[in-house]
Amino acid sequence: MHKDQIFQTVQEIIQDALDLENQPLTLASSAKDIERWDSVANIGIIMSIEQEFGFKFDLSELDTMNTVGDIVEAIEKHM
Amino acid sequence: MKTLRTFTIDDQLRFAKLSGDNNPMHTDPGFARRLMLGKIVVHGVHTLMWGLDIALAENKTLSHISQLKVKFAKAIGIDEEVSLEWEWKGASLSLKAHVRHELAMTVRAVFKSESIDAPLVSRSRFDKDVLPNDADSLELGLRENLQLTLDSSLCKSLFPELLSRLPDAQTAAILLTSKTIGMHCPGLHSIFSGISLTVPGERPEYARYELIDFDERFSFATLDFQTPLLTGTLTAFQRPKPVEQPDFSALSQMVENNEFNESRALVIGGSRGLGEVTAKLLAAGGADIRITYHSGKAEADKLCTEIAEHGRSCSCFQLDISSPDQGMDAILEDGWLPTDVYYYPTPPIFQGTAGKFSQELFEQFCLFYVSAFSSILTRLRETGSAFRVLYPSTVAVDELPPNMMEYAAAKTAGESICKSLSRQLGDLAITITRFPRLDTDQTVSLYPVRNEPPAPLILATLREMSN
Repeated sequence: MHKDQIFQTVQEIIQDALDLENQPLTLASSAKDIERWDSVANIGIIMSIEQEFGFKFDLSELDTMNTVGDIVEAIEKHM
Repeated sequence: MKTLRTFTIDDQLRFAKLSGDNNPMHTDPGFARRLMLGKIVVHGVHTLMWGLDIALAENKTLSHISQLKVKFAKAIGIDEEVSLEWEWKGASLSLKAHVRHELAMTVRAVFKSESIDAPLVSRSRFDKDVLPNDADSLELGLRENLQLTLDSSLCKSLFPELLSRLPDAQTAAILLTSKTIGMHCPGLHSIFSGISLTVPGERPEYARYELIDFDERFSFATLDFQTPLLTGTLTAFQRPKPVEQPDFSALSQMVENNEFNESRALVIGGSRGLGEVTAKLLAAGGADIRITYHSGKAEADKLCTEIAEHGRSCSCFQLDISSPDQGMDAILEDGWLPTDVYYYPTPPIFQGTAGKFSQELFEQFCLFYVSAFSSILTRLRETGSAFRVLYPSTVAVDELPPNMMEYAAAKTAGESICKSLSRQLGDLAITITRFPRLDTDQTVSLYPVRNEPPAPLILATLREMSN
């Protein structure tokens, strides 16, 4: 899957999880910018991503995923 | 459309009676104060059914739910104002609840007008004395048969539209989701996360649940949930238990027998957490201790008893931070004067929202970290006796976590007060220690985070103060 496609899928998952109603995200978007993106919501996002892409992150990977771009890169490593 | 309400303890007790979900986090203030929100949490399904009931009043042709998807995003506390917004598009309902300006719940429901054959439900009432499942670990495959039960008269007073419009088996099934999570699986230490239900093609004969997935990383449980008219999945976290600090015997191993025996220590906010650890360490080192509590009398009494059993001295006093004079008068009444004062009172610290400053929250923190602190020091200064002070601050002052700006700002103000008082009153020594994230009830989290054990860092500070 191409990086743009991964980003698109991640964006949809985050929008759905946070009920952002098509608010566009960028690779630089992070929990610091979006008030609803708290630690509990982050768990839902991670689990939806894992379900969509068919793998599970290690806890050590989660520590490095601070932005949407970080999430996309982490997914690429699993593909 | 939009409406507002607050849930009271009476509302909670009635919903617990109707649903059979007697989890004490929803009904017992003493239990709930040690959890993440620090107070009684409204059942998520209570908020859900309130919202559905209000929305259904506008759409009189619909007679059963065909799909129901719910996400519980934030806990709602009793006596907090909840804002409910909803929108109908035909037979589809979109509903959101907000609390503290944050999204607490989203609901998407699809209804149908056609009548549906509905099985009978039990009219019996739940036993309020049944305790929730307290198991530490959950095994995949855990399953139980359940009973669909509906107390019609109580339901009519709480959710009249739901009772009159939906089949009882659907109303009872929605209620049963709360009991399933709160009482059965995960049970006592649960946090309801989500519901996804539809009308089954082939009706199960009985109501039942089965644990079909448990993600150890996040303690996140997924349950298959079956009733004759609604089946699907329920999701929930198994939240961490309140933190038990090390007991006196364990902490006394760290302390020299009489290293604090010249100290008369007043530990403000000493019934649990960092105050509890401080009191035990000081008592183990021979100090004469007085602690204060606000609402945790049982915990304060337990701590005093534990210290007394080891031949040390500790007594406790009720003190209300919003008006500390009465409590301080009681502490000082017999002429006892502290040589050392440790100040730990705090509200729940993780209440902020990234990117939004709350004046109300800032003022709440300032009441604890600035105003009450200053009042207590002033009262003690009036005795004419000299004393040292520990003001526990936080690394958040430097790190400025995005959802803690009110907390960090109030602690910064508290530090400034300490420095000003130390400078202006030459004989008042105040030690400010910026603690990292320590393992207490305040810092337990669903998300895996690392907390430091408090005792070594507190002991180092106590020794620094006494030298």
